[in-house]
Amino acid sequence: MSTFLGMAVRNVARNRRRSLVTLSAVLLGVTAVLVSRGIMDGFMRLMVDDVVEGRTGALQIHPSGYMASVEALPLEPSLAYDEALVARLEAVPGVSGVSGRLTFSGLVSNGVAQTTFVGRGVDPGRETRAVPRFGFEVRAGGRVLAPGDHAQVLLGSELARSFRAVPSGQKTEGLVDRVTLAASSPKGRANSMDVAVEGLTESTLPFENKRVVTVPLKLSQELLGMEGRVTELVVAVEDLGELEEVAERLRAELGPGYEVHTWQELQPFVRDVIRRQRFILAMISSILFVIILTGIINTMLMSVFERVREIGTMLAVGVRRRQVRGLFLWEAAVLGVAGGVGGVALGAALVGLLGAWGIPIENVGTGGPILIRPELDLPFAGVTFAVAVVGAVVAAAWPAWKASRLNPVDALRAN
Amino acid sequence: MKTILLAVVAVLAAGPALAGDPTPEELLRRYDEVMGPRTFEAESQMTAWREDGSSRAYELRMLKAEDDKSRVWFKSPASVKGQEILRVGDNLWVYLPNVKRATRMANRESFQGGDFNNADILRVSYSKDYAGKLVASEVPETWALELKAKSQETAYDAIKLWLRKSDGLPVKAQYFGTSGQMLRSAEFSDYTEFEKGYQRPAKVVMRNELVKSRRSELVVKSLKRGVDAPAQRFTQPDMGR
Repeated sequence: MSTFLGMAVRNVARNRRRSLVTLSAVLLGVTAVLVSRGIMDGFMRLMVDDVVEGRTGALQIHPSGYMASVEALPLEPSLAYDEALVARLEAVPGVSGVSGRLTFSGLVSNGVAQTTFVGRGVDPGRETRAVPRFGFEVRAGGRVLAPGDHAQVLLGSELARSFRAVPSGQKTEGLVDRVTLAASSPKGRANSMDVAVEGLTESTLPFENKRVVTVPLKLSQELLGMEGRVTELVVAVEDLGELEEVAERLRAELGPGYEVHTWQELQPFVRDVIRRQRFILAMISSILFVIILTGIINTMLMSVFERVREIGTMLAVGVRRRQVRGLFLWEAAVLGVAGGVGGVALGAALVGLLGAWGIPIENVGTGGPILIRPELDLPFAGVTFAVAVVGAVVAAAWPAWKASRLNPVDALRAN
Repeated sequence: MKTILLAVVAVLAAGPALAGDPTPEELLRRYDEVMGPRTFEAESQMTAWREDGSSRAYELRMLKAEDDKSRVWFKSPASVKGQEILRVGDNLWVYLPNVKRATRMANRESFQGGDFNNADILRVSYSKDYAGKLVASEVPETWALELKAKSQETAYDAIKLWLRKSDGLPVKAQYFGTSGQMLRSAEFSDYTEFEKGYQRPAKVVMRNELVKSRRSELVVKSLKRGVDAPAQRFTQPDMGR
């Protein structure tokens, strides 16, 4: 066998130009797939980070039955928010932080107009333990909610624009820096509060900018008559790869009456976007694969035709037909490996470079550019490499078979 | 000495009764009787004005029975024709003719997007829900009552009510949330005798104090008390029939 491998390598080296063509096809295919995947992963990373570290956290705990009617943003049943429960949850292995939130709906007005809003009551002292990037989306000129805040809120940027609201300190003629929040308690008691706008938030999720008002937890509890209660507990985990395991541990710790959800379940929009993008990439990769395969078949066939006399000689001197087949397959394998290695190397280098520079793109929700940093997924690179090698061999199967079917007599007589 | 003291105390204690001023409880009971008779049927028109100056007018028929059963049928405009709202106790259902289905609704949502909330239209039981206190009134010929909620379940934390001295009918009202901010204010007018011996304001203008450009008006066109209101009319399956 190794004789044939040696022969294959020498054959490949001998016919430099054609070998290079096949090798380049494989190399470019692998590079293209790796770079595309890298860019896509970089974009997904932005979205996931935005969601997990900036918004929903890795996991959330709700009272049983909450998610079934989440659209109505029910305030009952609610969870008690006390130190003992939080300490118990933070002691669960894998959990790195827990914070409570009150999500509610109401009407916001600036005295002249009103619109519905979704309020997020957030515990400024604890929120960064569960959602490390809390506050990262506050636009310049505003500030994050701090533990001492009470009647200070953050408005989504689109919401603020429609109300002509700006953070206090930036108020000029015709603009407001205070709004009134009105909402009802679970029992139907109407209440309202005047609050100061401390900052505007901007995010890749358009809903956040149009509808969300972030308020200190105590303010929301007071507005809704829900002192000491929250609608959800947000949990950060040490390792996102362990998400499901930690969720199970939390379920065991809490027992019935609670439900634990992962961020994918909480933001199915993001999960669906990721799935769809991966699917599209898979489609494109498949098409690329078929094209390259066809190219390789073509060059292999040409190679067989050009080497008819050589093959005839081999068959005449007693080389078995399957050994001839094997030779061509080895040649394809060598080209596949060489192209694959080159593709992975080039792809990794490009992804690394783009990752360092970052690719600026327009922010979907707000218009400011953000950077995508492509990243390399090693298992995926491995799979792509394997596919390249196998693909090259598969592409050579028919030409190799054809070569082995030659009639030595006719072959020797050929040009 | 002791007898004189006792006599003075007795006179003072009997003072309010002797003076003839109504108690807050009496005033609230009268308010409930007038504004929310135990059983009645009424035809009304509700108009809602929005911030942009546009308005929407609804014609509705309302049937109320006992203390907490009421049903509203919308007659116009065409976009809401056939819709119904049913309240039984704390449960609220809305029936939509285009899906032929009744779904539950929250008490706290606004009535057709106007400035009344559902509790305002469909439930009037101040004597049960609020404790009243008489205060000085700056509006001539009226009693001023400050009402404070007896439980957390009322729509408002506090209400200030001005009632006519002559007949206890409301003139104006202010509605406050738990924070003390005024959420709504109302003006009552067009006092009409709907039935022999039964007079009440036909028109209520409810202003949104948080968004001053919004207001809603409810005008009662006809009202009949003591009508026959079988229990079956106040069940969810009966909606849409």
